[in-house]
Amino acid sequence: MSLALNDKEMIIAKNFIPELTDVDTENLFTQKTTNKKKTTIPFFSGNPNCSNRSTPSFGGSKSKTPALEEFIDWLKNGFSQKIVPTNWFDENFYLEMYPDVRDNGIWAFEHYLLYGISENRLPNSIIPDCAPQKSLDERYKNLQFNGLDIDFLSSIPNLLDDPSLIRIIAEGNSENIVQSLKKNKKLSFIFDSKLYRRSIETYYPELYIPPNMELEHWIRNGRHLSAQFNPLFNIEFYKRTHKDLSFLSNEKLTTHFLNHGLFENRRSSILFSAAEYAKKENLKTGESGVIRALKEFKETGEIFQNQTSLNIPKGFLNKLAALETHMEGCQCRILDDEISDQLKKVQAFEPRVNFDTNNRNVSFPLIQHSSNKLHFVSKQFRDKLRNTKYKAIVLIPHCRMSGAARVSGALAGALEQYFGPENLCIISTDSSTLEHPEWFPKSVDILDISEDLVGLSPEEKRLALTNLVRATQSEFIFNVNSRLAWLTIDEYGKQISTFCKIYSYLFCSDISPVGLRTGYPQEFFRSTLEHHSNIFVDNESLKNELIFDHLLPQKYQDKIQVTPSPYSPDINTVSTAKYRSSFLTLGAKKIFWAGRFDRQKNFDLLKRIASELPKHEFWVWGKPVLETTSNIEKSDLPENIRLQGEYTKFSDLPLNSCDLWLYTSKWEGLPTLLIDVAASGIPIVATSVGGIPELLKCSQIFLVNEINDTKPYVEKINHLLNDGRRARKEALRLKDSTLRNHSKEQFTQKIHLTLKSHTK
Amino acid sequence: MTRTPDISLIVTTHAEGLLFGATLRSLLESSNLAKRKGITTETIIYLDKAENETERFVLQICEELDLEVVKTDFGDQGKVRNHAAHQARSDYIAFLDGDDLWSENWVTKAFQLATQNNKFIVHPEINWFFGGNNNILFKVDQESEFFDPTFLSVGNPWDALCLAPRETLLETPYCNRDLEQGFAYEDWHWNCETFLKGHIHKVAKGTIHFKRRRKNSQHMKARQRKVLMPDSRILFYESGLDS
Repeated sequence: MSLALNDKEMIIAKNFIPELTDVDTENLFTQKTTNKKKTTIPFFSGNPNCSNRSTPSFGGSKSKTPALEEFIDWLKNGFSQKIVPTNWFDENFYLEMYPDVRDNGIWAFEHYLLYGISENRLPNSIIPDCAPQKSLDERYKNLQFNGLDIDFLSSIPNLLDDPSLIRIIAEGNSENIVQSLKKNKKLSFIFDSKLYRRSIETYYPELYIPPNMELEHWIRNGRHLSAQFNPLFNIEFYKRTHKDLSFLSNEKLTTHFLNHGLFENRRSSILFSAAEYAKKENLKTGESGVIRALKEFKETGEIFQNQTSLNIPKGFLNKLAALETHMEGCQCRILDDEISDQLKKVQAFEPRVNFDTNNRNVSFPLIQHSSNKLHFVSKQFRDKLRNTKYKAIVLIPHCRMSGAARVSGALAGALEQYFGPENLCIISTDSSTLEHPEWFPKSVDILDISEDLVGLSPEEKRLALTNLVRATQSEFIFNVNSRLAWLTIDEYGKQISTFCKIYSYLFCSDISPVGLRTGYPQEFFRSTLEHHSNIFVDNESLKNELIFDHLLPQKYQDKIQVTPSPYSPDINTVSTAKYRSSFLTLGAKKIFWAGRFDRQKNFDLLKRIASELPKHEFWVWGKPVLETTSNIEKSDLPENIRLQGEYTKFSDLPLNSCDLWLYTSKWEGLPTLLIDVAASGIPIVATSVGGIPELLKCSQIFLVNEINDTKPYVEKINHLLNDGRRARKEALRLKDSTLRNHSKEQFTQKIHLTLKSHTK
Repeated sequence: MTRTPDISLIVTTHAEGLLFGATLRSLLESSNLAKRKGITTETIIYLDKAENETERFVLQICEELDLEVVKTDFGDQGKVRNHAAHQARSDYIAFLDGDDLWSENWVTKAFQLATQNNKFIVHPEINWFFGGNNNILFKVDQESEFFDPTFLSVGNPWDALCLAPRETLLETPYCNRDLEQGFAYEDWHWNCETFLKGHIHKVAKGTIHFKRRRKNSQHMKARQRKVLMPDSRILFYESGLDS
């Protein structure tokens, strides 16, 4: 490429391409102009045949801007032919606006390049800063806002919310205005300079923003464009959504949003419902959900996505905002001639392709797509996990004070030994409650996915869990009472069992108010047994119930494995000396009871028993949990019931004061609480339900066959308290049996044997 | 000597009945435009476990238009496409389902793009749904800034109706559909596997696939049955696609 440019051409070239500023030799010129890396030249679209348009359209010039060679080619050939190489210069407008140029006879574009830019003449009716790079760098060194720019800033007092700033704007000193604007807090949340620059570079590649001048550029130019300056404001979406604003120009729409829409919490993006957020956060009327959310985003990196309560993953917000803009472009794209032509051709013989245009959704992967929520939660899970892979996962609903939670902790301990802590993950699916983290091995990862799933449909939740199992390449899943896990196994267990061994725990059937058995054994056993390697139960009674109900053949029976739950590792034993002495005394004894004050645990029966044994004290731990009944009024209770509140650990209980433990449940599996009592050597009076007879097999004197009649309980209690020696002897026998059959070692061994048999 | 055609246009039919007529018309319009641009094609219609009405209609039309018909008994579109990949004579293959339609410019534009790089698998810019659904899905070009490979683990950004080099299809055949065991979406799986092998999924701007949504379509059946995509490394966090 030779240096065959005249002086005028060289001035123009150096204006468009600042790198040529110091060029004065042919070699250097050639070197600089053959740089293939430079693909964008501001104010130059490179299409020598491009016609002038009076207004830039949405999306601007998306044609790939050419190499430097094309520019030089235009300069040497196109310039003399008076070809305007950009859509941003409106020749008709320029001549009409500036009759002196028209009268002069000079080519309008040439005049603009050589004189008009430095004289601040306008290249078109809307966007003032359409010019080569060097000109704009110069202009922005000493930028002056014009009257229309000041008017724009004056029209958004609600956003700026600062009388002194409003005054500075009115005074019109551009430097002062910019300095003050950059200190304005609300504007700092609203205007995202990186997003704005990126949007201009993508959709308006011919427009140049000098370094660090995004705010100034936006005030002068951006307010007229569809360029995005805030991740939660998409101007096309805003226009489409609010029909009362559809006739407004981009500038008026922007002004409306900044001054009104923000504070009315009008929806301004697919990504975010300001009204829902304001409701959730109890914002005052007039308080902006967008500003508040962006403030929170700045602090925490997370944002609440519309009414689904789904958090947008960290680092994803601006990408989604860019995607939304792209998708708005897609809305326009389907109206392009290129698409319409193809549609018409097919419509000619298949008119039904465009029959129904109502409520048509335009979608794009990652935004406005049926799989987006799953994508988000998958990313959330990945961010929270320490490892990418876990050999085994244990699925629990949460960890409250319950037998099932205790068992899940014991199971996790056994699995940690078998697989190694780095290969095991505990996943909480239904709630974040983790009341007893100490029940689980310290070195094992615990992941709470319950909050991430809020906002997903029931089907999506099941898919999300299935995807998580696959994503972590788990080979074993253990479900301990997680409802979501049951639902997932029910729906996808067939598939999951092809790459994963499935194990679930069942504890007992519940009894409905009308006396029918209900609960997970009824809901899920039948439909999921085929997918399971094993179903664990902690008592023979439930196994027999399932065998009977379903007439299970032996092969199916073998899948149900009775695995006695272990006693708590920190139990106490009652001192023999103290116990003997207390039984020799006459007078009040202390009878302990613990559980929920509800229908299952039969709190009512406890009250009636206590009222028939006024001599003794009943120390009662617990609270109403499952049922809606009440805070218990002390006035409703017999005087000899002493409410003790709740306890955290069984070993914290004053067991040395306990003369007898009363257990009144109407239905049960094998309660872990009773295993602990038995292992502590305390005499028991308990209902003969569920797996309790199995626990008390060697001390059947402790069992009562009645559920609601107080008489057998009262008789049993009196008998045992009056024959302390016998009671103690039975309690010790029960203790030995319990320590033998319900040890942690036994439990662990059983689990390990089961796993080994399935991995042969 | 007969020149090997540039592209084999493969239509898979099963229970489309007279809907096939419009499909074939769209194919012919598209191939005729391609021919005017110097691109040669062959058309092969697959009758896969076709029900009677469909078979009768397809055979009649193809006899009149002198189009090749192949009967198979797979009951599985993936297997049909694999079979077609082996049988086709051309270096490039384009698939069309028996009730969908191509925009006129599809064959031409897709071929022009595909021949730029033998790693390219070309998809239309737009899936235009009609019938039971009137939505519009824009496809994402793998080389665009908007492509996120982790999306593939939860959703299919493309579908099976692509134009691809025959070699690609032979090297990576479609996996078996196994509705009984609960696995389908073999086209999604194919997209994942080809992506993992380094193929590049591109979008031919200005082209449209018109996708008819019927109650009894294979797609709808799969969705109703709650099937999953078969195993793929794409699904694993360990694949590191998010880094």
